Amino acid sequence: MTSAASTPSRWSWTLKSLWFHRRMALALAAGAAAATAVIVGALLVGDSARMSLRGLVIDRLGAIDHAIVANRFFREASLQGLDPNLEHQVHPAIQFSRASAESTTPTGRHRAGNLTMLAVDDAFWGVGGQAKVTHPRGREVVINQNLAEDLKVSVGDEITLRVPTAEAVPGDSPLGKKEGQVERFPGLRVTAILPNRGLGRFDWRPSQKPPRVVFVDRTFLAEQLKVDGKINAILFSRRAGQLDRSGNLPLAQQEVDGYLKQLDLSLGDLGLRLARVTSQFPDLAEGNESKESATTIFDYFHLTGEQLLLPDAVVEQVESAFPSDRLRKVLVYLTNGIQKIAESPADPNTAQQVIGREVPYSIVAAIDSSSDFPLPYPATDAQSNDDAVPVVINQWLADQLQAKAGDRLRLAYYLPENAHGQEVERQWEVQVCGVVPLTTPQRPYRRRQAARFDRPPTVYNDPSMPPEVPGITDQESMEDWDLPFALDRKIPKEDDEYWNDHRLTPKLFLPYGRGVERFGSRFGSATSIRILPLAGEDLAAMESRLLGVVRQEARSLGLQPLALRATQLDAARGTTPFDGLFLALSFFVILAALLLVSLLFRLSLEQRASQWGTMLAMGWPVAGVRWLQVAEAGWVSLLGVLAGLPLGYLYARGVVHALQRWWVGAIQVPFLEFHGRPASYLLGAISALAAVMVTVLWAARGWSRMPARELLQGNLSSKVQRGAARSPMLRWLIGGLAVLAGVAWMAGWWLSGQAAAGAFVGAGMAAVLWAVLQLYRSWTLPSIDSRPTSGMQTFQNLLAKNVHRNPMRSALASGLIATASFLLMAISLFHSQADPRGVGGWQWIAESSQPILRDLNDPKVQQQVLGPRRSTLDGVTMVSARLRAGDDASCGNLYQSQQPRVLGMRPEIVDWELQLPSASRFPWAAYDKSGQAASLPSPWRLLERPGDGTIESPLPVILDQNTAMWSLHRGARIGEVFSFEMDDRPIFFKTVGLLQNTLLQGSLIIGEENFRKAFPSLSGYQWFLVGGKPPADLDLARQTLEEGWSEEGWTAQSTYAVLDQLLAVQNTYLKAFQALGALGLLLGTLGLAVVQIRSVLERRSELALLRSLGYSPQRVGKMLSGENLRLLAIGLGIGVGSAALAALPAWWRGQSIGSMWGPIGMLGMVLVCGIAAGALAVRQANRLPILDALRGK
Amino acid sequence: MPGVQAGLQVERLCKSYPTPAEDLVVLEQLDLCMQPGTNLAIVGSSGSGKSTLLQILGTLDRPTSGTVLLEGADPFQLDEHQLALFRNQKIGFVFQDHHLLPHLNVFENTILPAMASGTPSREQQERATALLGRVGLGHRLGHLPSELSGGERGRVAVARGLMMKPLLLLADEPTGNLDPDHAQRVLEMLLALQKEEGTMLVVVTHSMEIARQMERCVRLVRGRLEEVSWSRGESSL
Repeated sequence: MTSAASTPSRWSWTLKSLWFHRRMALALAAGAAAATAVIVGALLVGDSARMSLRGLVIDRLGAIDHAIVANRFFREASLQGLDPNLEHQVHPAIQFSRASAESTTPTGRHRAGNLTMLAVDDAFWGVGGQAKVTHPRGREVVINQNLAEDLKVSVGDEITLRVPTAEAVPGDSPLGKKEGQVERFPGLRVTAILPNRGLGRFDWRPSQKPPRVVFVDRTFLAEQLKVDGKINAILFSRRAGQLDRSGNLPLAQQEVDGYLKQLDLSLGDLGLRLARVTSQFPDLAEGNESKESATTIFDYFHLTGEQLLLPDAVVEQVESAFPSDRLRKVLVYLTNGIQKIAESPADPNTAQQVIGREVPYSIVAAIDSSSDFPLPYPATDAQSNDDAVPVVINQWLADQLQAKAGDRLRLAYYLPENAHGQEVERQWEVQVCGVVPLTTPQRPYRRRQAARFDRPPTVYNDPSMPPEVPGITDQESMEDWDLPFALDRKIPKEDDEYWNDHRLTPKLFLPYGRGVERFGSRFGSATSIRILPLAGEDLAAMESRLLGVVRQEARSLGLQPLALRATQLDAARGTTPFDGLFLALSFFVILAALLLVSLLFRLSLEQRASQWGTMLAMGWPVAGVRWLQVAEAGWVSLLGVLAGLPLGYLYARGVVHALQRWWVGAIQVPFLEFHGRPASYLLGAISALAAVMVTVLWAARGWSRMPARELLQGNLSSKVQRGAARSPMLRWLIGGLAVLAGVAWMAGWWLSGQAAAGAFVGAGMAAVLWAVLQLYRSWTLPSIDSRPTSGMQTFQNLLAKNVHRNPMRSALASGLIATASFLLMAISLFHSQADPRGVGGWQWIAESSQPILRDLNDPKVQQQVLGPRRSTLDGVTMVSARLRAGDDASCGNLYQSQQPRVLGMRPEIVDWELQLPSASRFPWAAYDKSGQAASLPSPWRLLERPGDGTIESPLPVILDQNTAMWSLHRGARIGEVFSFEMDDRPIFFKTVGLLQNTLLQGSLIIGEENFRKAFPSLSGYQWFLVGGKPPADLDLARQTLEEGWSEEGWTAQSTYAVLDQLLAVQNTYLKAFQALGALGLLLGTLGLAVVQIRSVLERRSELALLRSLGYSPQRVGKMLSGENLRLLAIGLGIGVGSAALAALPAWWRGQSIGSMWGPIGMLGMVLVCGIAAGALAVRQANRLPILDALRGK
Repeated sequence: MPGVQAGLQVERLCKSYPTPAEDLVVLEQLDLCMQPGTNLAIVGSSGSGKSTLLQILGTLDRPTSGTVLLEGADPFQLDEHQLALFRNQKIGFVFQDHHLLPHLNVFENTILPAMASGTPSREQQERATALLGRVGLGHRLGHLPSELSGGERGRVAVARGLMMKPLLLLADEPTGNLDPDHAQRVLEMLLALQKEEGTMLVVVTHSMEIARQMERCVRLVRGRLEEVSWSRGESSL
């Protein structure tokens, strides 16, 4: 047998067939290639975004893997506890993440806030993997390019740095300092400016925006801050060749947690102080008595904290570690005055009368009675009401007030928490239930000498009970107290003598629980813990024991182990999966490509209908024929997919290039670079192959049911379609789409914001589908063909008949164009433009690097800080908010937000809103209208509902809808409860309001009261909205405020600029969607061209007949062009009409709609391309030889 | 009758198509018997239902009522898969347009029916070669249909129709597109092969020249068959 007589295998048959039908195969492959290019391209864009974000992390952290940062200084010597064979290199450092800087140049004074300051050693610079930087010495600084640009300085210029100093007492408490919490370092010379890459991008938080960074010498800064030998940060860098574990966040966190445990920390490093307080008589310290003859008055270990109040977590730990009879909690408090009240007023309606003098500024102690510290409280204290809180006073106070058991006293005191920076005095009536003795020393206290007693002191002679407070406990006289408020009560001689004799010895005692009710606060409920020593237990043993107990609370005591690299790499997954996003944005191109594949595959089946019929006639099973069809399509698809891979690369390159340009306006920095993982190519190829094959199988499904005799007659698609057009399912579908379009459109009127826009676009899309299917059905049903008047009386009728000839093909081509033009138009109509309501009537949005503890609206404060410049603030309104620093969760930050920042909004925002016309207020997408909420004057009032952040009582939160939906992926529904891990515990929030397209993106906004409860350690305000005056006047006010609070780093920017920047991100995505929609439209036009050319080939004998009947080539051309234009016009008409339907309500409501010139231009291009496709078909038709065509050759 | 059981038996065959106005009856109570190894011409005017009858005999279409038995078996009782196998094994086709697959060469087009159920056996391949030799195309096995003349394509179609040794070979205007010389040669070859293979042959034709050369001729009139008896000088219906 010759080789020609060999039987082809099915595979070689398929390949042979493909080669023979290569033109059609190539067209199909091109469709598959387009789909592949888009899918692979989208995945590569995702890779590029993700890898670029990862690249930034790796770049900015260099070899740094972990860090331990503290909100206080601790001994560098604690590093000695670390394993000497540690896998990481250790870099002790001092860091401030919210420092500020200032420069004075010939162009003026320039400020920059929120900058990251790192004080490091020379060895640190090795971690950056860059050319060695000359380490700054003394008053030298190295800054990054971003900061240099903000300060407008270059190498050699001088700048001033400000860093926050640690608060000894919380700023929001009466004893907390309101100003001067900043250390200032003027005259620092810039010795180098790092580019915004490598360590010049160092940041504790992930963001693609370059931070402002300044590096100084650690030794210099420690000297200046008087913290020699102390640090507040440790950086751990990977040694060369060490395994990178940053891909596994839990493992990395475990590693740095382990490092924290290894540190050789002391109680002092954790902000705690332990002392043994002993009182003996005669005092052994005097050295003139024998040990045996001395009597111990009291002896206990005294645990206090650096910050006046002990953290509750520490108190709980210590309480659980010691038996209750060894331990007493103490809460001391400063009263402003104590006075005796007359037994009963003469007239019950008049106010209580006070008797005698007021004892000013006394320490009171809340402590329970115990055997070592007996206090004669009545046993029924628990049942007593507030009016009769039993207190015990010492003899001195009893003498001063002429008070005895049963007398009532009035205490004047400041509330434990200031109201907007202002102390609030309250009065409280208590009842004396006993008087305890107090021994007056023979010699009073001196600066470095304790008092000396010639008679035995009592246990109540204990000036150590209050913790040390710098500025108070270390002063010689009460007059010298360094308090943040004025001592406006007169301090008589007797009281100063008491200070000399007894210092801070409490004058009044009350049960601990009652004291906490009155003087406890979010900052804590105990100022100290007294622990009775066991026999032989010394201070070192107790310190060791306590350290073992409180070390577990190192995190709540402010030492945070951070798996920096792993956390930031994890965040580099992005707010949105970029591949998913771009797949979604490209869905129409993919759809168009698949429709094109479907169209071409159908054409190929039609073209070869008689072949399939012949095979069926010869007894080939349907499955066998179908296998051949699908196998051929499979090979073609594979070919197309392979060709699509390089196209996908080019496509992704193009998108990345476009995004680099578009995103600059939105996210400020061209960070995006092209990256492509082999896995993405593989995944894209497999996905595309699957999508194309599913399309092919779908297209082939009707054909497998075609009888052989029909196939043998060729061109049978209309017969398949006629059955489908008659099917009740299609009728239901068409009816359903009409109803859906109507309902969605009506719902759009009722809804608001993005929900309304979504409803209108949905209605438009349903209208497009309805029109296309209706068109298909009407073209397919025989009722039209069999109309008695459907004869071709006119040329137009002839055109219409020709268009109806292949309804599926015509409907697909028109549908493609209709959908693409609808999307283009609709997206342009809803293109976001800065809605003035998005700024809520405010002109400036400001932040300060350091908390501001005063009320900026208070004229007294303004006068005090600004002096005569205060007048520029007349008429200016400010609303401030507390701030818990966190990740920027706005769409301007591409990293996944893991701990979004939280704002505690002052209630004054309601007053501001209510005086505005409703058209100027912040727009709401939705807010809680249930129950009484419906009657609230403003949705902002919803924040006043109490919550403590637990799952049972979540914090009411308002957030921007975009932030909830796209950045946080939670909280986008009113009533939704969600949580974030903050301060080592989950904080639960409940959405009560969703703002729409406002400048308040990126933060969780809760009420101030709830903020104070949820974040007790934070004081003051750092976030401000400024408005109330015309912009020109406000600019002057802004300058005044920036100068007045420059120490705190107060800087403002225009609300409109912020809003524009946020909207630019959304519009970038819309622009990408629009561009990809245009690409889809192009594919649609290509489909139209294919339909036209195929139509000409199919009808060549008919066209030849027309020519033989005397039709001129021009006439035939006109007919074909007319058919083409008709399909184009139908598609464009449906698309534009549906877009108009979707946009009509927005136009009716007077909303701004985007510029239409872009989409009109694109539609024009489509028209031109479509006409060109028609012209090509005409040219093809007129080149057909008439005779051959008539013979069917 | 055992002989009839072995051939083709059609009884009370009806075929009608629904139309909006009324059902269009194409075949009505049609009866037909054929003995194995015989041939038959079906003639009739255009639209008389010849092709419909041929398609039903070839199991490409189903009757509205009545029975068709081939070797005593009713193919319309079979499911789709069995029907395809039945058609493959028992029935051969020769189409007017030949319907050769343009991308397959002469040999491949011929052996195409054998590939319906898998790879053809060596015997089948030899048979295809032999059949093509007998139709005078043994030297053109590797040629594509586009490289053949109309007559040659017809001969390939005949060889393909006989490939599976069918009981019944159905030819729809097998020479319709050929000039008289080529038409006569193809017909002679078809008849010779039919006799050699012992198959039944049904030819649908308009040509009385062809019909006269068949053993038997029937005319389809108003849905029924009438036997045509030839008298001297009769050349057309």
